[in-house]
Order: sequence, then C-alpha cells, then structure tokens
Amino acid sequence: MNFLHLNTKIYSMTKLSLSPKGALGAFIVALALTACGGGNSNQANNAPVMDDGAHELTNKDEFFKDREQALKQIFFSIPAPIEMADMMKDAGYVYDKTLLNPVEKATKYLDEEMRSINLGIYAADLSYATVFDQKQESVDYLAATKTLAAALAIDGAIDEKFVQRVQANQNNKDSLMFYVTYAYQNINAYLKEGKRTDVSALMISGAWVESLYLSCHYATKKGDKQMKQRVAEQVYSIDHLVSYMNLFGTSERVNRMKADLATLQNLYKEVKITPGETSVSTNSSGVTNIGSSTKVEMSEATLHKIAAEAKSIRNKYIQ
Amino acid sequence: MKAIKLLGILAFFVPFMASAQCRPFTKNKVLPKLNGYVQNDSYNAAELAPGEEAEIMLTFFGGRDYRLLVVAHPILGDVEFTVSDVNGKLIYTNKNAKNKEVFDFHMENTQQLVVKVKVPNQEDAVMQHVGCVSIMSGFKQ
Repeated sequence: MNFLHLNTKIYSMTKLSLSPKGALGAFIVALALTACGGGNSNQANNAPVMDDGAHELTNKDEFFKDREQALKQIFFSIPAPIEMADMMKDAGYVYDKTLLNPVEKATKYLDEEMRSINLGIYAADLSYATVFDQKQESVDYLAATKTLAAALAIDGAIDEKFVQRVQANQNNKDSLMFYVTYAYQNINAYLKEGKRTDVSALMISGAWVESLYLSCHYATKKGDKQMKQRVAEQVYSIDHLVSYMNLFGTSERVNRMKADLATLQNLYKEVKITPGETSVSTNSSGVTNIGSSTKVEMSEATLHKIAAEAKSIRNKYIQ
Repeated sequence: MKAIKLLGILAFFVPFMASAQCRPFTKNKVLPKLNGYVQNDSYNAAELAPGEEAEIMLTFFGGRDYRLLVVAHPILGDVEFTVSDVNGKLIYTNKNAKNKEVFDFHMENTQQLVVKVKVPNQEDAVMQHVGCVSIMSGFKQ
C-alpha cells in the first residue's frame, strides 16, 4: 500500500462525519497497514515504493526545526568497544575476567545517569568477553545489558527473543559478534530516535571510558608497544567526544561526565601529534590504501597518568 | 464525538509515526551489506530531505581493512557522498563509482575521516519526500 495513497484516503475520511464504528475501523485499518510495512502494490504505475524509510514531507516547519543541532546529535560516532577489544586480542593478550564490572551490580544502578553510563560499561565488557570467545560470560553480560536497557525503558532494543537467539548461537563466534554489535547499535538507535540523545551520549561515554580502561591495563604492561600506540590514538576520540557532549547543554548529569572527560582530555594534551599529509593509492587488488605521515606519540609517564585517570573515572561510576 | 475526532486524528498520523524511524530501514537494507565485516560504530541514520546535507567524522585505525556504507532510500535519488581527511583533502567520491553505496579501503595509519552526504534537490517535484540515509562502517577481522 502506498503511504501517500493511504494518507490521502484517511485524510478524506476524517473530513466526513464518521460513526464511532467507522472511525475505529479507520484507525484499525491504518494500524494494520502500517504494521504490514507498506508493501509494493503501486509498482503498476511505476511510482516509488513508499515502504519503511520514506514518506511525504508534510510539515516542513516541524521537520526543519532545530535541524542543524538535531543532525549533529544524530550523526556522531566514535569507534565501538568491539573494535578496541579486537585490537587487544590482536596484540596477543589473554582474557582477564577480574577486570570487568561484575554483572550482579546491574540491578543496583537506580538513576538514569548511572544506568546510562553503566549500560555503556557493560556493552564494552560484553564486547570484550565476546571477542575473547568467552561464551557463558558473553551471555551473562548480554543479560546485564538487557537489565539496564529495560530499566531505561528501551527494552525493545534487546528483548527476550533476542537473548534466546544469542543463547542458541553462543557456540558460533561470528554470530555472537554480529548479535553483540547489533545490540549496541540497536540500543543507540532506540535512544536517538526516541530523542534521548543525551542518554545515548552518556552510554557512549561509559563504553569509551571502559574500553580505554581495559586497553590501558594491557598497554601499561612492560614491553608493550602495540596497545600503547592504540591508547595514544584515542587522542582523536577524546576531543571528538568532548565536542559531542558540549551539544547537550548544561544538565548536571551531562556536566559530571563532561568534567571527567575534560580531565582525560587535559592529560591527552601531552600526546604529541606531528601533522603530516594524507596519501591515497590503489593496491594490486584494486583496494584503496589511505596513508598518512601524521605521527602520534606518547610518553610512558603520560600513558600511566591516563591509565590511572581512566581507572579512577570508571571505578567511580561502577560503584 | 471527541473520541471520534481523536480516532480520526490518530488514524491520520499513525503512518507518519511509524515511518519516522530508520531502524527497520537500517536493519533490512543496510546491515546485510556489511556482511563479512564487524560493525564498529553506533547508530547513524536519519531522515533527510531533498537538498539537505549531513556530515560525520569517523576514526579508522591503522593496519585495518574497512567498509564504509552510505545507503539512502531510493526516493531521494542519487545521493552523493565524499570522504575527506580533516584538512578537507578529498579521498573518495561515489560520483562515478560502480557501487554508489560502498567504499572499501585499507587504513595504513590511524586518522579521522569526514564523510559528507548530499541529497539532491527535487525542485520540480509536486510533492517532496523525506527518506532515510544510513551511514555505517565495519572492520574486517
């Protein structure tokens, strides 16, 4: 069913004198057609199919209200915790359960601020457990994530069926990785589309701080170079994250996280960036190579200061 | 009578309420195109109108292979996207690409890249439509 066609019809009906039964019928029909996702019965006239993902722009004032700010709040990204976890595994490190926030604490976070931040922390721990192929712990951390998502009234993002699918596929690492990244994305989707971008920002901050804390644990081991470089490269993310948090006004809960991130940002000012040129080439397989002569360097002393601060911030929030 | 009016209003708005979200679009039309890669960012999708532009900065780590997807609802027409470094140096445009939605690349060194998306104008259109645009990236394990 073409949305446009449907809307025109329903609009016409609202102009008529409807009986109570007629109005109820119109509502039920609209609901049913919407639930069916539109379909494509208008292919006969070659009109674009108005399925999920598009509709007529009817209220321009509403659509374009605070548009620039809204788009800035939606289109924001820092690397998801799964990538940092993957780099820890790439560096050859071993899983350490004692580093994680125990799942039993999930029900103890009582306000929206602590729930949002710890949702991010658990998402990072879930990514870490999954990348290191810890099947039962992956399921446990998914359950903790689900608990907090439900407490934040976004339980639709991770419902019981989803958890059951994960349990059924826990022996297939690729499936597990897919479900974990999908859950993280879906939680963010629910928050952003529910116009709770500040909650999404707190969650992303929590996930980033936890990933940094875990990375620093390995980076501070004697002789490590690979993770130390990855921690230094987070200099890009911290600046980006602080700018993003500044979009959310001055509410207390946002301010607290902003202050913590600002402390880390100050330490990251000690990371030396020597600007260079970006180069682009194509390799023999036809894949684009993107290079850069920019150098990012960090001293041992700075690494230890960042590690201590990341640990202090995450410990404050997981209490 | 009030109840009838309310039901009429609800019946009119239900299709708009339902289509104001890009989650199903992203799940059904975008995520499958990331097959073989692990998604590495959060949710970046919104409805855009003809003539609108959106921008996002993404960090990619050195020594890794990535896929960047910019997928738009067909109602928006040929949506253009470019990838530049933070100084504005153009790295990629989908203008003459065979696959206008996908950019696969290898990062030699870690850096931030800026993705700009531009929806074409539809000045001649009798009715304007908005459609979902979803930006997604993933790394190869």
